[in-house]
Amino acid sequence: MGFDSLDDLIQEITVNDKIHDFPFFRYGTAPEAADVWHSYWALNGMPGAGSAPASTPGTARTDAGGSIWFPNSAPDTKHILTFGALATENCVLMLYDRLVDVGAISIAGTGSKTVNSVALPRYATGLGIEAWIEFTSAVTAGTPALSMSSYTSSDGTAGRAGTSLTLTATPVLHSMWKLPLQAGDKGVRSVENLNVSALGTSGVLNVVLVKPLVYLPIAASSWNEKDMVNQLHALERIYDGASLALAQFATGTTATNVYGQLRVAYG
Amino acid sequence: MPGFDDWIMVKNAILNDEQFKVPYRHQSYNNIYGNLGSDWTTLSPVTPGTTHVDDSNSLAIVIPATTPKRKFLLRWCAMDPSGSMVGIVYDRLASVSADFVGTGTKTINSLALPRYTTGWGVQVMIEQIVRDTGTSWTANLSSYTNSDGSIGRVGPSVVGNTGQRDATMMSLQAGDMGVRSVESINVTASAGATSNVNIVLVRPLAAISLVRSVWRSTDFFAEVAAFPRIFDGATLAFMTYALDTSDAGNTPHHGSLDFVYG
Repeated sequence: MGFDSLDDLIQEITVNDKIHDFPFFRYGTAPEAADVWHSYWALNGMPGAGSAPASTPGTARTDAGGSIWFPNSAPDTKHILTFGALATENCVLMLYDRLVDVGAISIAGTGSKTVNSVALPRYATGLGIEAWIEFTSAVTAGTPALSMSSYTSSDGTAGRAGTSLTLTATPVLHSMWKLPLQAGDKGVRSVENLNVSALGTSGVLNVVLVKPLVYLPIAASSWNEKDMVNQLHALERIYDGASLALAQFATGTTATNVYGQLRVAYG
Repeated sequence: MPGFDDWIMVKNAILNDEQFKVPYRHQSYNNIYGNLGSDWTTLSPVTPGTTHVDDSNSLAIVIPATTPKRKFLLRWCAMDPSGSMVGIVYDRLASVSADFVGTGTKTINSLALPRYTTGWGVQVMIEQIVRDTGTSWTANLSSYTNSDGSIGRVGPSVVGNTGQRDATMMSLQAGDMGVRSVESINVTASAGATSNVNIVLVRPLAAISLVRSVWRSTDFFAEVAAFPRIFDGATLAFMTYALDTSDAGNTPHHGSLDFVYG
């Protein structure tokens, strides 16, 4: 399980064909603003767009359609070799494992929203797992503010409460924000409630639990590629069932297309 | 066993000259800044088109067969003396030409893939061989077979890049991971008096970022652990993406693709 040496990795790739080499692209839409994340989950390209999650308790994602996913390899383990991409605007691209999402949460009204997310399918303790919101319907007026009013931390402590986050005015479709945790917490196992303290007019979102895997800074119209063997020695593991997706940290409001390549080896 | 048991075998293969160094000089076609471009120059046959096996048309790079030994891309060195760009080398698998003048369904019925036969990771690129004289066309894959073998798949609409040698990647139906064949394309908007395209099934392999007049190289073994495999029969061509408007028009990029086999 895993690679005993660089030689073992070379043999697994070149002799045993234990490699998945996937080219991807996504056509972007206009981000909210500079310094705001933007989701590619439901946007067109290859792989084809991801589907909307179910409402509470949501969907645990395993080999999800719309994600980049690879066949199971157990008892072998899969690891990222390279992640490279071209983007049409300056941005940072995040590759993440989309674990759980809960859809159809309207924030057109203050108060507590029930989330009660299902159990994580991977990274089960929640250590390093982040909770995000992802807009599926734009806010047409107002500046929403919200918080995780009840979540279970990676230590298994229930009823944790994150600090409030004020979004930008009128968040656009597909914009994303990472939700703050309570002091001292290192991850999220599940989200029970979201509290909206200031509302916008309309606005529907998903709560998404993700495991970030790689961040890739890209200068507009150039190619950048991270090597996870020789440069970083990270060899980030990809679990069976992983549902890999992309998000963009925007530097403006221009729609950004991405074309890239992800290579994973297993052994 | 074909392939390499360890890095010493790779080194020895190089020392034993089990490699191909292929110098090239290509035109970069990016008539409109911000669009993908293709360096392919000729129209393919109409339906069912052709497959590309050791096809050296349009200066595509072909390499001798090495079976039972396996080939891998070892290094890519290149320079663009007149602009900055991203170069993407891809294996050209099958293509069919179509006339995009007028709306409606265009029959494609592409041939079986000669390599990457399941279609996993295979993309559909539309390359504009004869520029569209009108506003950009809008089209979608109205029937294709995905990499799972499911037929009748339908992709969402894409607005084309329609300058000469522009390229447009076609989006897939939700969840699909690749294309095995294309049966038809539906053109829903078309305003040009001329517009001839190739519908091309491609497998991108590697990319390099070139800054104007700066020689760049990427080692796909020791620097970026990609080591993409090149199958016998591969037809290696380039798509490009211009960084700035100085690349508008037809600018050359030249360099060398180096392969090792064992």
